[in-house]
Amino acid sequence: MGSSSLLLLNSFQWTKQLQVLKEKKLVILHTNDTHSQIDPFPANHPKFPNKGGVARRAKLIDDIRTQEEHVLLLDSGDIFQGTPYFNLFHGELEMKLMSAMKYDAATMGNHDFDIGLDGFLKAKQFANFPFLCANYDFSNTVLKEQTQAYKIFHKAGLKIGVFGIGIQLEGLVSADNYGATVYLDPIETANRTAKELYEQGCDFIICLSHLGYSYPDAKKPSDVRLAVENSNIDLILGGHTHTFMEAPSVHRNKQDKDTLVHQVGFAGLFLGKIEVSARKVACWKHAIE
Amino acid sequence: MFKHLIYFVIGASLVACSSHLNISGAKVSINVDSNEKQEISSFISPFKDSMDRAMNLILAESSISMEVGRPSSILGNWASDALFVNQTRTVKLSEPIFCLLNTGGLRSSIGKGPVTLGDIFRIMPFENSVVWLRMPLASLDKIQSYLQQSGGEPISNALMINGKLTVNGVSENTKYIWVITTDYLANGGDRMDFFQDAVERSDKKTLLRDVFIEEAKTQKNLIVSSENRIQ
Repeated sequence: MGSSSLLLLNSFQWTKQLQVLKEKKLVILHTNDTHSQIDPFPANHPKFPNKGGVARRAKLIDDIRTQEEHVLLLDSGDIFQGTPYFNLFHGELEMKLMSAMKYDAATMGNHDFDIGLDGFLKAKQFANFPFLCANYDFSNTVLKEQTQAYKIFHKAGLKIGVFGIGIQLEGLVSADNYGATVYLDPIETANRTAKELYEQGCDFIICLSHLGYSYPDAKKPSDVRLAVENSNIDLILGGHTHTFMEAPSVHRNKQDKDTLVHQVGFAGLFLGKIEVSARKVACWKHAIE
Repeated sequence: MFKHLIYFVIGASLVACSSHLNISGAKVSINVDSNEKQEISSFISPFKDSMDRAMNLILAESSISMEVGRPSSILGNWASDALFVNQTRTVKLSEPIFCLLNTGGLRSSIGKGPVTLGDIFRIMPFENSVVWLRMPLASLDKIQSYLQQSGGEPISNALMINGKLTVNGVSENTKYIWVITTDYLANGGDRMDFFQDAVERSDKKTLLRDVFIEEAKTQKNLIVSSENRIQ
């Protein structure tokens, strides 16, 4: 039955139909809260002996890139602070290594403010990837026009919108270190940005969040709260709470669609790997034109 | 037959107009079995050598592995005791003194064995300095509620038993107490808003990390207290 119907189409249309039916796979690799953990943890570390390490992560990423055609590599913030590498080199090494691993984008965590906006800017000159910050308004600071709300990627035949959402800095970061940064409501800004990306025709929308997974105070903005209170986000890649997840959690958003949340602990102990199989079929009107 | 074909085409058009995304996810462990990318190891190498030269200096020994946690912890006790001893060694005040730090501010653990300068940098990576605050005795109630809500923070020269915070040396005549903490917390970090009650503040120029380094060197074998200070 199926084959006889295809015979009605001419050969050109038939080829086109087959082409769009081909399944493509997007692989999203992600980290969060890497906290200057360049080396593996020492062998006598009580919790994570000989685990993690950037050179190993780089090899793993290379291997995946060899096997997979369409890879996005993202980070959800707190790149800085945690080992003496940061105290001695002030973020230069972290940025250079992330650039060498070909990160596509990152957002800022609260600890990325630890050497002030000037310190971040100095380190950022060694980054060849954008920092996505939709809800920090840096207009009156040295970071003006140094970050962007979102970036659109084209991979696996998909238009992918990625944006960043940061945590409230007041009470968490010394005021001297964030200066005149204006904090915008994270849920509202996330919804506005995701809507914009949707209206620009994005097929898949990712939020890099440093809000934290969830809190006992349900009113506090978190990834779980954002997952339930959004309309257009497919995937939230989180950070801040150093939450180790076995697999993404699935939430029903305001459109009654799934929003997934994932986070991979901290210190580069794990690399998150999300696979999106894109079977996008052209509309009927396209198939017969 | 033709009727069936029409149904098929309509059916196909409906499927066709929606994009279909299947999502699955997992985490990949990075451990001793993972190979290294040689270019990256070589790139890190000079940075590592330079760091190791500075950081591998052995300051002391630890007889046990020390971790931080709530309600109280061995590392939390060590850190707050080190601060208390260091700051009160040559100071004699008539008013009671205690130390309050934050659990979240101690960023790593100390393994059993040699304790290096790098270990101290890892537990206290921040450039936080020492602050003394003179507070009305009534503020102790606010600190007590904070400790109850947060689930516990490192304290020294004080105990919280059954939710009641007691500072050594407080008597019925006590009107003010001194709290030794960090500039981060004194400035409202971690929502320790009770520090706004301070009537007097003295900012020491000493970094908390330098206090830990000095005390580790002095102790040689780290003095361990496994006392449950928050109950």
